[in-house]
Amino acid sequence: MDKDFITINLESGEQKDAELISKFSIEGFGDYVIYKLDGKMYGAKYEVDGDKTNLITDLSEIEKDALYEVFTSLEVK
Amino acid sequence: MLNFDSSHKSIEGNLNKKKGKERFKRILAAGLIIFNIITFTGCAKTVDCDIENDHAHYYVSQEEDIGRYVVSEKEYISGLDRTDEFIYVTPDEAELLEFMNKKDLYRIDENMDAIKEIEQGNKDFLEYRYKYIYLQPVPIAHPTGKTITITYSYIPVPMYSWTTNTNRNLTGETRVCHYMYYGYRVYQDEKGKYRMEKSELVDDISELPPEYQYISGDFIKIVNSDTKEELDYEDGTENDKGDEEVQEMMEEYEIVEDTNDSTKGK
Repeated sequence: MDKDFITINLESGEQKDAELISKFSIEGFGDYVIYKLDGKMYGAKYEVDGDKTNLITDLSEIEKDALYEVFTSLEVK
Repeated sequence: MLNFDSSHKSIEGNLNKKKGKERFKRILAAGLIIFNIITFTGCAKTVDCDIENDHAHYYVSQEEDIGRYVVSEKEYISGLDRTDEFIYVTPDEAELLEFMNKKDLYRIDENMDAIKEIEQGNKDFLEYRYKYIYLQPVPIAHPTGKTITITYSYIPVPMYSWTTNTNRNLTGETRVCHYMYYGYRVYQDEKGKYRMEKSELVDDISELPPEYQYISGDFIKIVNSDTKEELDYEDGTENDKGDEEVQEMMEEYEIVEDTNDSTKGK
């Protein structure tokens, strides 16, 4: 399957291409994304604001648990 | 390992417009899955043998040193390797050996050393109850013309299971897990057909009543030491109807499942 790529805007102003692994929603919580950047796997909540998608990484334990469960189920190496 | 990096501020563009990979994978809760390795004999070579009368060769598992006699000349059968050791057999004995092989049975008396070694390695152990989040999938259909795309939302459901890993979200409850064993009695019914009957669980194979002379390849059960009930690892959820909902939706829309990104109609 073809890979999907997204561009991550870093705090430093730098941009990096990341592989989009999965995006999904958790009812009552919001939308989440799992992506691979520089060989590492990252998870975040996201909110679309016009043509921009803001990432939120300050997540509650329940959100982190949920992301971790999804990540585990994906069996991404 | 999943990381959360606050220096990742945003994604260029609207992520919802990105095709992405909506995953259909259901999240499997923790549990024990035991796979039986079956070695098919279809590709096994037949070994030349000069023995003329009816006989059975001894086949043995190299890993566990457990074996049985089988009327066969295949180099391996059911995960067991053929040896040159053999016994002569009558037609009745051959029929019993065939039944044993079909049912994966081993004579206890011929394998007692290996069984003892396995038993000695099986020590009681402690498990801890822990809480985890199960994501219950909720399918959402997006019909566009003749094409239906199904995506999933996930509802987090708190659940509980057991682990030996003390780094999980433990509740403080523990249980002692204890190994027990069972055997089989083999007998002939009124028509002369071989039948087998399972024994009660025992702490040691030597405690089996004398008529239970066989074990199967899987003769071990791990039980709760207090209740003697087989260990359960998954509480499950009564509301987990995800599969049924998906099935109903697929029937309603005549959907052919596509395990990639979408599910398409006929």
